[in-house]
Amino acid sequence: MKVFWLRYRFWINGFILLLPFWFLYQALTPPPLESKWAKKQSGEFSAEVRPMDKEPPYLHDGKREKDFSVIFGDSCANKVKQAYLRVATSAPNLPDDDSGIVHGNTSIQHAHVPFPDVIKTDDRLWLTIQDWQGRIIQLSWVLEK
Amino acid sequence: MVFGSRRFWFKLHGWFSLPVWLLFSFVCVTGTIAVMSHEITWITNPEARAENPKNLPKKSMVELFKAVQAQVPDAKVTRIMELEPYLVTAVFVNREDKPPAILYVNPYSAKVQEVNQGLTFIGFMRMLHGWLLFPWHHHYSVGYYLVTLMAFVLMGALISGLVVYKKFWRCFLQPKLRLNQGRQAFYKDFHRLVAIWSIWFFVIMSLTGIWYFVQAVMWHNEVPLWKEAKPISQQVMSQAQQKSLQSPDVLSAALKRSESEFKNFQPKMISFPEHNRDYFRVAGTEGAFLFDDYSYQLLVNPWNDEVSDVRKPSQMNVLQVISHIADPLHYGTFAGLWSKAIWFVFGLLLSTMSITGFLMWSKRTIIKPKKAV
Repeated sequence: MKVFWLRYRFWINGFILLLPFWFLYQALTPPPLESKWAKKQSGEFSAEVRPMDKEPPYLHDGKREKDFSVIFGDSCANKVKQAYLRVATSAPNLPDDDSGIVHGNTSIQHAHVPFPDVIKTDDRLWLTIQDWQGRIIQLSWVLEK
Repeated sequence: MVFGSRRFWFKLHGWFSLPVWLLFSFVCVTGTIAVMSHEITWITNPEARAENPKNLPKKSMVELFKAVQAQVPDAKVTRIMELEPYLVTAVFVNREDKPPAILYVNPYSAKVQEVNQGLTFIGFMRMLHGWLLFPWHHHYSVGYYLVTLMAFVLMGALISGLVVYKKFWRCFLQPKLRLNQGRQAFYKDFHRLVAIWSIWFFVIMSLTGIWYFVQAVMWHNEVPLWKEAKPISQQVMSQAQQKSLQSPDVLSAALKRSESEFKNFQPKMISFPEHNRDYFRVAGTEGAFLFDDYSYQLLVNPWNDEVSDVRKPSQMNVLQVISHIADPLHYGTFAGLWSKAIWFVFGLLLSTMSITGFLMWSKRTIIKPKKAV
């Protein structure tokens, strides 16, 4: 047994090289997308949101964030001057910073949404849109668990 | 065993690389292939070649952008990246209801030669070599750490090896490679010969590798290397009139700003704004030796054409300089195909080091297992 160990111990690191095959398989078979949250509409703007994963918020620069897709409906994406996805108890204003800013150049866009440490019962996920005429449009969703 | 004795250093030499000899060799082999991945792509994929039979002048990025808009009308460009003169320019795009793609655009004829929606060979080799395809958890990947730790393995094995190998410099004047005195003698001579003639290469690989490790730690702890520009202010936004940033005029204005900011500027990569409060990022080179193709950068506000941030070697701190010279040194791209070819050969030689080392150890162990390292 001892001889066996002495002879073959330095082959163990070869098992690490099996992992890239596993990760390649994982990358080629991604998990199904999370389900979209119900479509919301206000005038000519409509949107759905979809969490990017099931995971709880992650830490970014010491603050909690969670990634979402924003799916604009009715070809309204090019009517958006700026849009933000944020968690708040009441409709938020346009922020000076760009946290939660919706980015992308097609109907499906993305946002890194700042999440509070504790979610209050009346917290909602707010999509705040400013259009090119300067009007503010707000859609919101109840936060799922 | 006395600390500092030759036997101590010999054991240390073994412990640096034997436990990870297969992984080490794999990282070296994949890195060696990655050095030539652009050229392998040129050989295997005619659509990736920038053929120029009519000897046309190279088209500007604005002309390529217009050509993309004409040939792929639903494409929204996110990035334009100029590669080697014999390769197509890569135009990264998003399209409605389709996965993101890379358009292979001939920089002379402006023809879109391929719409690549999958993984490229270049990208795959980079991921395999860089982090062994381990997943990224936002700011870090275990695989990236594993690979960069090989830089310490290499440095440790090199230093301990040079201590063990008495008067190693003789190898420069009297190189020895015994081919007919048994395998053990061949492995030993080959291992030493390759190592001594590759010292310069091993030092470059391990130092740049240690930088990549430092960079990984900085990413993991979210320590920024650069002070990022603030998003375009709400005051500027309030005056912004509706226009599409997918426009040749807006792109042209951003490029003109970069040409007036830098001398002899050659743009190599343009990133389009990700949202309306974002900037055009123009990156390129003035041809400074050893600095990569993205060492000169500026951010242009698309609403008022103002420059918001300028980066150039003369204003960089030590870490920023290292970040822009590490890649050309690690990939061997600083003098084109010739330096890549040299890097490829020495990469192959480096890949054999842990194999010959292991074979020597293995032969000794099989014969005398009790005296194993």
